[in-house]
Amino acid sequence: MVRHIIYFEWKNIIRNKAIIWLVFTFLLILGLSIYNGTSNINYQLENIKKCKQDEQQRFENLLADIKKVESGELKVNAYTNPKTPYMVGGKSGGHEIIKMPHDLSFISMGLSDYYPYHYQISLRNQQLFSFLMGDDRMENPVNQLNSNFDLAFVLIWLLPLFIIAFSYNVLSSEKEQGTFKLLKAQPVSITRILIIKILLRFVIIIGIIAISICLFFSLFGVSIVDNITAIINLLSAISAYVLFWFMLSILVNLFNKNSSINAGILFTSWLLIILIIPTLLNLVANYKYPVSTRIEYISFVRDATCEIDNNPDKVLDKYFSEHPELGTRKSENMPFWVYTVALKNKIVEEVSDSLIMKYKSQLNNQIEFISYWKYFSPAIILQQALDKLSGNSTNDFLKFQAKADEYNYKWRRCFFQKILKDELLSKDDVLDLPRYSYEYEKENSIVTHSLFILACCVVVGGLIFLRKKFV
Amino acid sequence: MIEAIDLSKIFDGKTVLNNLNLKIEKGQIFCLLGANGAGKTTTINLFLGFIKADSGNAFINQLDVSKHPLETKKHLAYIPENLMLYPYLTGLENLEYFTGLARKKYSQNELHEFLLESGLQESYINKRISTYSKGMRQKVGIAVALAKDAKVLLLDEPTSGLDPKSGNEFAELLIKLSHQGIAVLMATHDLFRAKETGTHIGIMKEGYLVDTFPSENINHSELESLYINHIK
Amino acid sequence: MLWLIARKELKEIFRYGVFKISVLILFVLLFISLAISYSYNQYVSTLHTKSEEESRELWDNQENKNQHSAAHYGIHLLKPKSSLALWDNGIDRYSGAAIFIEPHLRNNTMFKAVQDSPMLAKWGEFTPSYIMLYLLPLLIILITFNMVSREKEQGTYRLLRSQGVSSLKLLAGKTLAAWIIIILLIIPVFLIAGIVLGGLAFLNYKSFLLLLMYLLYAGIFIHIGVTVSTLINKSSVSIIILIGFWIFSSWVVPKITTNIVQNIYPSPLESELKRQIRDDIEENGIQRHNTTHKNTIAFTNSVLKEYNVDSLHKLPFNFNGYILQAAEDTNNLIFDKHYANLYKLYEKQMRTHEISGIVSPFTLVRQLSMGVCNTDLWTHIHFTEATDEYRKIFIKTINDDLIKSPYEPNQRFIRSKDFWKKVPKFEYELPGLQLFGQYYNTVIAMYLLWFAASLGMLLFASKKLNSKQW
Repeated sequence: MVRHIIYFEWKNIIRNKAIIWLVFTFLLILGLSIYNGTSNINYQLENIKKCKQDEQQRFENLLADIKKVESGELKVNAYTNPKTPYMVGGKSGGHEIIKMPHDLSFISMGLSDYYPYHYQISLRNQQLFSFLMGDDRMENPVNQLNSNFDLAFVLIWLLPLFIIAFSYNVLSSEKEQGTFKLLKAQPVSITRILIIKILLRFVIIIGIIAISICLFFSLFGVSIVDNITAIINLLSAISAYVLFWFMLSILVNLFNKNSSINAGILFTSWLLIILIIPTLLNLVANYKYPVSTRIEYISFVRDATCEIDNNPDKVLDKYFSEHPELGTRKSENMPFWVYTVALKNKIVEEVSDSLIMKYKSQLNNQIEFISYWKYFSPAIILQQALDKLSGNSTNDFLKFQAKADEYNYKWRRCFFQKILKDELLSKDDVLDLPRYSYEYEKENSIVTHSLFILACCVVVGGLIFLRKKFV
Repeated sequence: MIEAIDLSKIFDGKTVLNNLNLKIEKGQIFCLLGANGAGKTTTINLFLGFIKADSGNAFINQLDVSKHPLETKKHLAYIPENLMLYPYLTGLENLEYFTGLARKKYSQNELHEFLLESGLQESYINKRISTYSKGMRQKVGIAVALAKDAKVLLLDEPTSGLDPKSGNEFAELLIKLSHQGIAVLMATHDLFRAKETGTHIGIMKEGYLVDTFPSENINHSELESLYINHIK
Repeated sequence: MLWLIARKELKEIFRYGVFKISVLILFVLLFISLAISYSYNQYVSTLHTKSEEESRELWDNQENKNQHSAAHYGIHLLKPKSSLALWDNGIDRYSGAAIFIEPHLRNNTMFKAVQDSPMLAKWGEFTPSYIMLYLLPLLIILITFNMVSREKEQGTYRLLRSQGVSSLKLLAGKTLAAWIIIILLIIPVFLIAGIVLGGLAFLNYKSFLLLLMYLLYAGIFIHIGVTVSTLINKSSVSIIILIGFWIFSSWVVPKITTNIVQNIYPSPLESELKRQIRDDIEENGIQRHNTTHKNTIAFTNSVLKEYNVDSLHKLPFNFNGYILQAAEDTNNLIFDKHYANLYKLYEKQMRTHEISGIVSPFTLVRQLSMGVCNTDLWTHIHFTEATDEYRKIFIKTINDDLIKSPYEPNQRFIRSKDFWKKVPKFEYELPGLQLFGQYYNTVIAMYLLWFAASLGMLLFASKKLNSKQW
C-alpha cells in the first residue's frame, strides 16, 4: 500500500514541469555557490602563500645582512643595523601565524569575511592586541555589505523557499484539483497519505542535496572519502533543517486552508525566521551590549602613556633604577625611540587588561545573548553549525586571536630585555629564536546544533498532534 | 445494501436532515430529487462518512458507517458532481492509483478492460487527465467503481454539465451496473433522467424525505407536477 | 472614472485583514528600527566627536619635545556621522571610522564596527532603510499581486468590461489606488519620524531626495505588481513570480555580483598593499633614517651641491627637517599613486555593481540611498582623502618648523610646547550631495529608466488586456 502511494506520488511529481524546473534551478545555484566558495578559498590560499613568501624572503635577507655586517662588508648605523633586537623582532624577523582554511571551509565564509586569518608576530605592530587589528583587507566595503553567495546562503535562505514551493499545497492541491473527495471515499486514512507524501518529498530533497553535494564537491576537488565525517555532519545538519521546514509545511497544510493562504503563511514564516528575527536580534544585541571600546582605547592608551611620551628620558631612568638587573642604561645601538616604545608598550600591556576585558565581555555578552535567542530561528542554528563545520565560526576566530595574542606577548617579552640591555643579536641567536605556528583544531561535533533543530521539529510535530486532536 | 435509520444532521442549530429512513436494495437505482439545500448532498456525505450524524445510523452493506469508516469505503464507490482526477497522470494510472488505495490488484490489461467497459474511448486510455472532458472523467469514476467491485454507488449530481449524449451514455452505464447487482443512490436535479434511470424516486424538502415511489408507477408529467407540488 | 476605480480598490484593500496586520507589523518594525537606529547614531556620533577632541587635546598639551617626536606621537581623526545615517547606515559598519595620522606613513581607517559584533552581520542591519528597501516591496506585492487576476478569478471581470471601462483606465485606477496607499503610509511616517528625531533641520532637500528615492522604488514595484497581475491569470502564479523577482533583485543579484566582482577585480590585502608601497619606496622614495641608502645619499649630495657647501652644518637651514619634508614629498607621490590605483579598482568594482542594476533595481536604489545619507563608499573615500590632505599639511607644518630650528645632528632639538596648538586643526564636513554628479549619473539614469520601463510595462499590459478575449 505504502509502495503503491509512493509510486504514484512519484509519477505525479516528476511529470510536473514546474517542479523539474525548480530542481534544475536549485542545482544550478547550488553549483554556483560551491564554485564561489572554492574560488574565495583559493584567493585566501593565494594570499597566504604571498605572506609566507614575503616572510621567507625577509628572513633570508636578514640572515644575509647579518653575515655581511659581521664580515664588515656592510656599513650600518643605528637605524639600519640588522643585528639589533628591534630589527630582528620587528621588520625582518616578524613571522606569520596563519589559520589555514581546510577542505570544507568554503561551505560558509562565516567570520572569515570580517576577521583576519593571519597575524604577524612582530614588534612592529602598532596595535599590540588582536582586538585592535583590522581584518588585513582593503576590501571594498560594498562587497562586505552584500556578503557572499556561498553554500550556506543557498542552504539557509533559498532552500526553505524551494521546500515551500515543493510542499505548500500537498493537501490543498488535492482539494483544489478536486481529487480530495474521491481520495476520502477510499478505504485509507488521509493522514497516512499526507505523511507519505511529505516524507517522499523530504527524501527526494535530501537525496538531491546529498547526491549533488557529493558530485559538486568531487567536481571542485574536495575528496569525499577524506572528509566523510564532516560531510555526514553537514548532511545531518541540513536534514534537520529541511525536516523543520517540512514539519511546518505539514502543520500549515493541516489547517485546511487553500493553497494561496498556505503559501502566504509559509512565506511569512520564512520572512520571520530568516529576515526579521536574526536582524532584530542583531539590532538588540548591539543596542544592549554596545562594543565600541576600541575607539575609547585610543584616549585611554594616550592617557596612560602621557608621562613617557612627554619625558621619555626621565621615565626610562626611573625604570632602570627600579630594575637593577638591567644594569646601567645604554642607548647606543638603536634609535632612541625604540627604547621608549619598548617601555611604552610594556606600560600599555600592563594597563590595558581592564579595557580588553571590557571589550571581550561585551562581545561575550552578545554571543551569549544570541546563543540564547537563536532557538527562535533555526536559520541561525544552521548558520552556526555550518560556520563551525567550515572552521569559520566566532569561536574559531576568537581562539585564533587568543593564540595570536599569546605568541605576540611571548615574542615581545623575548625582545623587551634585549632592547633595554642594548644587546645585538648574532646569526646563531636569530636562528635560535622561537617561531610560532597555529594548528587549527577540527571540531566535528555539531550534533548539538542538529539536535536543537530536531527539537524544533518535535515541537512543531507536537503542535501537529494537538491540531489533529482538535480537528 | 444502503440503509438509513432515523438519520439526522444539524448544522449550526438548523436541522438539515430529519429522521431519514431509507433502504436501497441490490440492483435498485434510487434517485433523490429536491431543491438546493434540501439535504441531498448531506445524505450522501453521511453515507460516505465525510460528516458525522447527530443521531441515527447509516449502513453500507450492513456495516455502520460511523463505526467502520474505512471498512465501509471498501464496498462503495463515489462520483461527485465534478469528478476531478490527477491531471499529470493518465486515465489508466488514475484508475490504478485509486483501486490500489482500495487494496485491489489488477494487471494493466484488466484495468484497460475496466475502462473500455465504462465506455472510455480506447485512444484516451493512456492520455493525461488534463486532456479529458468531464464526461470522460465520469467514466473513469465508473471504472473505479467496477474495479473496486463496489456494492454501492453514491452519485452526487453526476449528470449536471454533461451534454445530452454523454448524459445518456452515463445513464445506460448506470442501468448496466445496477443489473450487475449494485445499489445506486443518486442525488440529481434532472427529473427526466431520474424517471428514465431510477427504479425508485425520493423527493426531499427542507431535510425531510417527503415522498418515495417506484418510478415505473409514474409518467414524466405526473412526476413533474408531483415534484412542483412538494417543493411549493 | 479613474477615481471611482481607485476608490473601490482602496475599499477592498482596507477591508482586507491581512493587509491591516501587515501594515501594523511594518509600522511597529519601522518604529523599533528608527528608535534604536537613532540612539545608536547619537551614541556613535558623540563618541567620535569626543574621541577626536580628546586626541587633539592630548596633542595640544604635549610638553617640550622634538618636533619629529611629536609628529610620531600623532593624532587620531574620526569620521563624523551623517545625520541621515539614521535612515541608512550603508557601509559605515564595514569601513572603519578612526584614522591615525603620523609621519612617513599613510594609514587606513581602523576599527570596523562589524568586527565588534560579527555574529549576525550577514543577516543585514535592521535600519529604517532595511524596511523601506526590503520589506515595503513585499507589502506592495501583497496589495497588487491579485488586483487584476482576482477580478478574473471571482468572475467580476466580464461584468466590469461590459460597463465599457477601457483597460487602460482600469489599470490606471488600480495603480493609482496602490500609489495612494503607499504615499499615505510613507510620507507621514517619514516626515513625523524625521522631524521628531532630527528636528526641523530634517526638512532639507537631502531628506526629500531620500523620500523621492524610496517612493520611486515603491512605484517600480507597484507597476511591476499590477503588470504581472494583469498578464498572469492565476493569482497563485503571479505571487510566485513577484516574490521570485523580489528575492532575485534584492538578495541573489547583489551577492552573485559581489562574487563576480571579487573574481574579476580582487581587492588586495592591506599587508600586500603595504608591501608594494614599501618596495616602491625602497626603490624610488627617500628613507630619511636609512642614511646609507643610495637615494638618501644622492639627495644629501644634491642638496650640498645646490647650496655649494661641504657640510650639512653649513646649510642655511636645519637639514633634518629639510630631508624629512623632502622624504614626505617624494613618498607622498608613491602613496598617492598606489591609493589612486586602489580607488580605480573600487571604481571598476562599482561599475560592475551598477551593471547588475540592469536586472536589479534594488542595487540602484540602495546605492542612491547610501549616497544621499552620506554612508556610501564615495563619502568614505572623500573622508580618507581629506584626512590624507590634512596629514600632508600637519606633517609639513611640523617639518617647516623643524627646518627653521638649529641643526643638531645627534642631539635632539627640543621645541617649546607653545607650538603644538599652532598646528592647524582638522576641519571636515561630509560632502553632502556634491559627489552625486560625479559618481551617480549612471545610477540615477538607470534608476529613472527602471521607473520609465515599469510604466511602459503597465501600458503594454493594458494593450494585452484589451486584445484578449473574455
